[in-house]
Amino acid sequence: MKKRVLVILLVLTGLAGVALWLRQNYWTDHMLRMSHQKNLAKVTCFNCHLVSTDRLRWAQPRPHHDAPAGLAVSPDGKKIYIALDDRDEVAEADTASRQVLRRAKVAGRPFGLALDAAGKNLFVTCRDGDRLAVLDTQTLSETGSVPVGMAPVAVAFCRTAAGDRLVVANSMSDDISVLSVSPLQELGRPSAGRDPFAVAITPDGTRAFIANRLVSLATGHTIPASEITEIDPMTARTARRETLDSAHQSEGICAVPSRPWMLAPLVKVRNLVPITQVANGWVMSSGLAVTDIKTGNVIQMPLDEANNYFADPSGIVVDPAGRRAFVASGGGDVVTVVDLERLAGWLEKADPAAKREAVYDMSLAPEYVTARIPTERNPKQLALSPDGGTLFVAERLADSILVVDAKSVAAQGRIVLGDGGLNDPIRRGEKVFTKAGFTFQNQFSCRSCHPDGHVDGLSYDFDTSGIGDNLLDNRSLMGVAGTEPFKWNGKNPTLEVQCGPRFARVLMRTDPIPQKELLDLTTYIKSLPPHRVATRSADGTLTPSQERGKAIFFATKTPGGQEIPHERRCSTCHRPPLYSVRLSFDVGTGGMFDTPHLLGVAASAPYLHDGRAQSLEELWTIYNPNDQHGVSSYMNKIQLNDLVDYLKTL
Amino acid sequence: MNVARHFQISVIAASLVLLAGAGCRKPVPPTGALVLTQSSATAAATPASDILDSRYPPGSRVVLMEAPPGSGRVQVLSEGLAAAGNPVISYDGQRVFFAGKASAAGDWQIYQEDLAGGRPQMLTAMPGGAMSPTLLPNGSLVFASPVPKIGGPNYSQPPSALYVQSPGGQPRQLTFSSRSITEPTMLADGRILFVSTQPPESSNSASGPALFTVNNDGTEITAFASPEDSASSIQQPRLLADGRVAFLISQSGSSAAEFVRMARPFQSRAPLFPGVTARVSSVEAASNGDLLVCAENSSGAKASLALFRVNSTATGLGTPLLADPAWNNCEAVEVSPHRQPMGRLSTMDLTKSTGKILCLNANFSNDPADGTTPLATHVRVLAQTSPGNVCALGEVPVQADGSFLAEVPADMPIGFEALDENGQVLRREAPMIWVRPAENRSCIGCHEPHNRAPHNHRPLAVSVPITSLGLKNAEPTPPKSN
Repeated sequence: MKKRVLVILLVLTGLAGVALWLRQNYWTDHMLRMSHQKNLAKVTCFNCHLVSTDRLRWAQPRPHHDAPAGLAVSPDGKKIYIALDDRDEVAEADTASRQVLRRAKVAGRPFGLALDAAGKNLFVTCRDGDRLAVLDTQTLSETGSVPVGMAPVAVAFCRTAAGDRLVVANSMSDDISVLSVSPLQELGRPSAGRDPFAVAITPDGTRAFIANRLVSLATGHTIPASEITEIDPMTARTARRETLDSAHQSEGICAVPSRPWMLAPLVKVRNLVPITQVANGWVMSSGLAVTDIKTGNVIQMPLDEANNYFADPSGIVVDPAGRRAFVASGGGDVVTVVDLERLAGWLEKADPAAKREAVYDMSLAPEYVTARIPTERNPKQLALSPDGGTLFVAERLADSILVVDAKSVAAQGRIVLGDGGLNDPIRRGEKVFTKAGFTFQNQFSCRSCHPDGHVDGLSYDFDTSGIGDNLLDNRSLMGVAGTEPFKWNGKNPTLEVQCGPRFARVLMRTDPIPQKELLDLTTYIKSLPPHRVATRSADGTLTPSQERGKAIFFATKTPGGQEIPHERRCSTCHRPPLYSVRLSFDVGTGGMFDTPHLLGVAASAPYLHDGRAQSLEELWTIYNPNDQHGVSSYMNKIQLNDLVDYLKTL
Repeated sequence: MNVARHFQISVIAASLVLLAGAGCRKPVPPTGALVLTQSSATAAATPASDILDSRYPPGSRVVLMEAPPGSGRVQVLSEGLAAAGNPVISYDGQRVFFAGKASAAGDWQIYQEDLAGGRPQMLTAMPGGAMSPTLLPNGSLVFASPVPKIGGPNYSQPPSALYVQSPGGQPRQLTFSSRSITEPTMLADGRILFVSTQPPESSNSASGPALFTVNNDGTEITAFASPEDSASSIQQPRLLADGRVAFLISQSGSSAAEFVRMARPFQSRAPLFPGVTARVSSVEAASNGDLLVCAENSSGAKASLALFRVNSTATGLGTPLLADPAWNNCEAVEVSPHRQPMGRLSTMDLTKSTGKILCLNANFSNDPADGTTPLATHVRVLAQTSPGNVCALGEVPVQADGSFLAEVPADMPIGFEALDENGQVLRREAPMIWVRPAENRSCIGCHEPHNRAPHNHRPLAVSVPITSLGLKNAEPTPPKSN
């Protein structure tokens, strides 16, 4: 039997060889016609054929870990609740013994936590479940659930004149769910900025402040700005939007009890300045937004020091007396202690110009930063005991909670949740991804531009032989496995090349990441699935508009019956299943650029190689005057909307 | 039976391998040992022609002293040399590098010696001598050459510059200033810290010595600390374990240890040991974070230089660890493996002969009179083609946002004059900085404060064609001083 198969295979191979020999011009011609490349050096059959996403790293099962996300401490300070989003669990631990007491299953990736005033109900945002769950803290079992916006990541409880309220930040639908507690129902869903990520309530309960991670939609050349959204939790109406110029990635926010302040850590970004250097915070630095809750005025203060940086600021808490703030640095593995009285003293003396310029002064932070508490890998969320005596630090990639005496800032011990995942290359790679220690003076990590492996929505002016001629849109790493080559010019054949010496030279300004860590890093990146999209139904069926858009995407003729040239059809370059043939094309934007894959494209604005298009619509309404980026001139408004609707399902 | 036999054979084979390995391995330098520079406490002073002669008079020697200091074995490492000093230990703790001269009339050069035993091996043969060895993480040697003569600038001798020399390779020049550059040392972030002088044209700073940094390929010359109340000399800058940079400062005939403040007042200097008035001749970091300090031992009958070991927060020096009436202990470094600084991949392209300079705002400076100064419309770019000869390479238009972009010759001292619309000089920076081949260099402004991060805006200068300035059309310009 085996012999027979072998003979058949040999015969078939021979026939194929003869066919190739006879028709070699046909195949060359086929590849030239179908790939539209002048040079076939980079073209293989596999650009178009036998492409499957099933074998990609992100489509495979991966190990799960006890990574702590949100924290909440009981009103008596005896228990701490820990969201373990990667496990679909919430853990309860004893703060005195630092032992985990019990765990409860909560489906949908539990992430943010808040307790009610009595500590009887624990509210849990489920990031992948798009819901808010309620757990009874006596039984640690789920007693209720309500749908909210997409990817809720943070929740805050408050008391208003109209009753108890919950304010939920929905990171992927860019809005805020305001809910009543009894009955548990959504009252309204005002819009936020982009990627709302943290919520804090003023001490009197009249205002909720929401920190947003991403800058508002803008073209790559404009000065970016994110916002702090202010809403009335009683009415669920937007009260004010404060702008943070050239600042983003706020992952925490906290009210100051004794002052009219709301504090939010931020990354001060300088993406429009050519990256000729990284010293002196040339690319980015860490800061703290001090928002006056009465006037809405925001002052940005630096948290880094000259020659010493503390990358990726994340969670923040303030002690009950309002004297000190604690800010986690996820990339620098420290918690920064800010003396708020000293900060207030500086602000009182500073004139308006000094306040405006404060965040650019790298010598200022030692005026009010009094300590840096070392932690294990990747401190993110923080919590304080109600008396302010104990600080809890979620060491996300170490699977532990660091317990710190808040007064002496001395570590007391750890609540151990897991083993840190040392045997999992994906986890080890995530540690490399989030570590600022690989860059000059610990200034930033991979994550600084790729939060959660995605994009920060900015374009950066990378150093080349020229200065200022290389503004490049940041591309998502989600779903990037199998889409090589990389880089907008398509010059990097593998992720190892992309993340190795090239990045060390142009961005990190250090030695390359060592080979072992580099392989872990690329394993992690390859494990990132495409970004979840809002408009795809669970069963994969498309709406009528999406169906019409799909027909446009795969159209070979215009509705008027005119043939669309092969090279100008969407599906020629953006061929399923990756929606990229992984070759470079000139779409009329100033050169040949690598074809990005379209998986999760709805979430990766802005678009085009330099981020000039704010939205998918602008690709065709503004930046395709000669039909080089697909034939779109025939489309009316409805047809364009249909096409965009379909793209948003990919 | 077979298993037992196999086991026996394996054990014997493993033992033989271990023994053979041990036989080949060099002896490890003794734990707790120190390398010291000693000079005779009783010899009469001799005239010195260069700064190393004055620091290390004839008979100065580099010794390996086993623990405990004072009673352990002492081995002279600079055996056969007329004078030696300035020891630096390799990152693996196995070798020492130091400056030495073979004869009293000869030049200082850099020597290397294996701490486990051997003879000093001369690594450099630089005209005018070499001094201040320090090591890059890849094992390359960095040093300053020539050794500055006593008595200030001497146009018959080029200013000292930094050189890098890979093991077995030829020296390559790293720095290209019009002023002498000496005392290189490594920072943990991979930059080379060194001493040079501020240009006197800086309107808001003194013209004395200051600390600067470059990358390991000579790119990104940057001011690190420029004390406003400038001292007459700065020597031996060293990175301490707690991240501070300490150095020795000479004033009124005495020398003291100070450090650079990274908090406000930014980059000012502060005493390292506020309670110490005795002359300090060296400060080095020990592996446990302590400091090894050589200073005048005023408690002894004769004030010779003694060795002290103190913790990094000490305000005084306490009791000496080693005090010898016959020898001044001028310098001491610990023999131990220590952490390598960060490396860095070069962005240079040696096939190119130019680099580019982008200034974000030529009208931004730390000059208090800045608010009343007219705005610059052009910048004249200066180059020093040889010591004392400055020429104007040409003028670059300043854009509405104050930015300008110029392509300039590489590896040459470059300076700037900001000009108003009438061609009057508003601010001047004498040729002192340089670009390396294909380097893209940026600054925020002219004489800007060193603690500034840039504003986030795209400079207009990058949207207009770059102005290329070469030596072809250069016009001679008399050196100017304010």
